[in-house]
Amino acid sequence: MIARASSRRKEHGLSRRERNHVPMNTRHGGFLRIGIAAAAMLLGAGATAQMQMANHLIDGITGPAFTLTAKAAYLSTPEGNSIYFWGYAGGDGPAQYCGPTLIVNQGQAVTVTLRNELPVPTSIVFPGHTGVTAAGGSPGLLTREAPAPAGGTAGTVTYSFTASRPGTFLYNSGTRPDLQIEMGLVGALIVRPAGFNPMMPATWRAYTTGDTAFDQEFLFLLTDMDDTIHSEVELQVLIGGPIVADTAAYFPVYWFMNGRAGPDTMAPAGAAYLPHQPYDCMPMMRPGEKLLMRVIGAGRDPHPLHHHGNNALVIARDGSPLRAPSGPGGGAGADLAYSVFTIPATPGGTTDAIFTWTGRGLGWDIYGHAPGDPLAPYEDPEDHGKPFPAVLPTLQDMTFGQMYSGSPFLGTLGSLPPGEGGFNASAGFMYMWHSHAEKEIVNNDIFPGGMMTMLMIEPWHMMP
Amino acid sequence: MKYASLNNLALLCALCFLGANTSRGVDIYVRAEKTSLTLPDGKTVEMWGFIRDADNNFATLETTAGYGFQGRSIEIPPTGAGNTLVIRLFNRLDVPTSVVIPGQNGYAAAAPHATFVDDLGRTRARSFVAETAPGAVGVYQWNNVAAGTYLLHSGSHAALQVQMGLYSPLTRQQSNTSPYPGVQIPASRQATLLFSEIAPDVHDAVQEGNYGPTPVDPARQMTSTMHSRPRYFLINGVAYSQAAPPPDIVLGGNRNNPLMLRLLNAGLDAHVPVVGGLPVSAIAEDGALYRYPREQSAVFLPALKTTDVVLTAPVGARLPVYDRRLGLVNDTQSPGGMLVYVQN
Ligand SMILES: [Cu+2]
Repeated sequence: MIARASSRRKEHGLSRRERNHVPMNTRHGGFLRIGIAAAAMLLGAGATAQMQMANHLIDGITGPAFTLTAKAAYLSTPEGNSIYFWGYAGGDGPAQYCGPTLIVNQGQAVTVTLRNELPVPTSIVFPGHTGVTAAGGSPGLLTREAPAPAGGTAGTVTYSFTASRPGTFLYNSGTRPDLQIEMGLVGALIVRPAGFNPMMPATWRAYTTGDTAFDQEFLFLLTDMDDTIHSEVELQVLIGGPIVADTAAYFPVYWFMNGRAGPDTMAPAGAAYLPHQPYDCMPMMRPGEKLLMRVIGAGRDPHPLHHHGNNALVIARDGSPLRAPSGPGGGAGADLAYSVFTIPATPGGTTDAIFTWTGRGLGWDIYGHAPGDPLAPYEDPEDHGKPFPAVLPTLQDMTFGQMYSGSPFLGTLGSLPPGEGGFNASAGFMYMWHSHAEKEIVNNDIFPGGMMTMLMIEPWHMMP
Repeated sequence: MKYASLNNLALLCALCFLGANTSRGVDIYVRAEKTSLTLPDGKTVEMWGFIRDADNNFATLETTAGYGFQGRSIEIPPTGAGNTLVIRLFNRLDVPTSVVIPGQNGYAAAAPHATFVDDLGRTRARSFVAETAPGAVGVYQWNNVAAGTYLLHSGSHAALQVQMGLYSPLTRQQSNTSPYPGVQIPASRQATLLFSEIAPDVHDAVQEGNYGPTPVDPARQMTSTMHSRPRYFLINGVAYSQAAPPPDIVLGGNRNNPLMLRLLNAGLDAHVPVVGGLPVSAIAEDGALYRYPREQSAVFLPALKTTDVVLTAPVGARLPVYDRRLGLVNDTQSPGGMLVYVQN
């Protein structure tokens, strides 16, 4: 995965990726949960480690002043369909599904100017924020709207608010939302807490408190789609007729993560063949790291996001940390975080959760250690030296997937016949992360696909 | 009629109730009746409603506006007699019906639930509680009525009767100034928002006599609500319409103080109320106060759920309350559906 991971980071023409390389031994600050021996091992490894993956922050565009253009384009689904959609473009760029992820800092005065190139009025609402004002355009039911273009000039409207609190939010159309959200007018908004520095992972927190610190950050913006509505609208736009869609008959057959259906979720961010779906959705981490999941229900239906591998600690909902208000005597309120293996994404809602993984509880040593070997970084001592619980067949008796490294052990490459394997050069582990509404892991009835991706666990370093 | 013998049984039970209960406690007189609802696009559907009898007796049959599926809450006084609730249900439908209030655990069952014998000769349940036969008056009693927000609904053939409109909010304050222990919000700062759906094919089949095992027109028989989907989406019995928008819900009292919305979902599907996009504090669910409030801006409201939310809104604000599940049409008309404005 070395080559693949770095190419993901290079193919990033459409959006800016904040990233960082820092010595491994500074990365975890006060959050080490391992024994002294393992800590010593980590420090030793840090001095010699080859960097295989960086710490990841969510792709997006930084503000606080944004121009978004609502326009039509076509998105691709992995089974070969091309679907007309309405999306937000950053400035004059291509329409995106989902819209650009807007990244701002707490306290910033945010302005979003919406230019409308669609044949109908449109608008944006920013749920979860107080004091949102709209200027220009024309009045609408939920907010002011950018009118349809007149005489070749796009209608505009400008929204302003102060990003007063950190967290995960979404934005979407506030004009005929039953149709325009379906058509694709959705996106994520992330507010970084005060003190956050993208270049310094030691400062990475979802909220202000230390228990929201993370090493890796990934977006899971979940949407659903009934392509018959899109076909109807496409035809109506083509013939210049009124836009009439029966959204009450809505019956989705496509499901997306960050605007892509599986397995495109795992294609590189900014892949050239997905010009309108620039965001990937492939979480990656090393054992012991804290992976922040920002889960957004941006479509019409609720979706249960099931993350194999381990439970995750849900720390916030709709941009509010799960912490009780402090009592009359002051001090921190009760910690209301809770642990789940399926995160229910509410339409219009967001959920933040911290996922960790060390292989703990598997009952065998994922590194293939002998009992006397030193511990790997973050290795759970409980299973240290325990044998792999199966006898592997000989190579002649096996068939091979492209992701098999030749060994069942994390970070270990084994011999493979010529031409086999090769897609997992760092010998990582993978877990499927997907909608637990299993019918949603298809693309228009073709399995596998839909709301499905893989978590990649990368070893801290290759075993000799 | 298939239910004839059972009807007699239910009538007997209802009379037993009447004998067993005196008028202690709060007496609510409700009629289950056929009525109709005209939707913004002109479509009229038959509804079954819990109609509150204005003078609290069934000698004369008059209506108090707004109750039942129209969302006006049956309010139980916070003190004194309100500890015991008696609902006298006059069933003016042509099928048996009943009343349940999930979450009010003091239900005093004076007779068992109704049963029927199926085609294989098995005795099976038809209701959650004792039924009231057509033409009869049933008496339902709850002791130790708890404060909170509850959704009263039919306990008979609920998959059909709830869809047909047999539901109502029921609320009780902890005290005159307090909805729940430790929460100080006067009634003038509260509003009730009842979300519900209309699947018109079900209502049409019922009205035309084609619902159930003995249809008038076998070619148009509907045997269950299984394949029906809502095409109209209501708040307090009204679908939004641009031509005739529902009146704003205007909250009084001190507008600098928090307001509380009691959110109820009588639909068969989940809805997600959003209050002007503002963060709200959910304080109670199913009538039970949370130990700690839960901050949200999209409130997940599954079928038959109640959730109470508290928020502080700018003085003079006119907040659109709408369904982020996107029940925002009247059949094919847009805009419509679950949208109403709350004025602070
Ligand atoms: Cu699975």
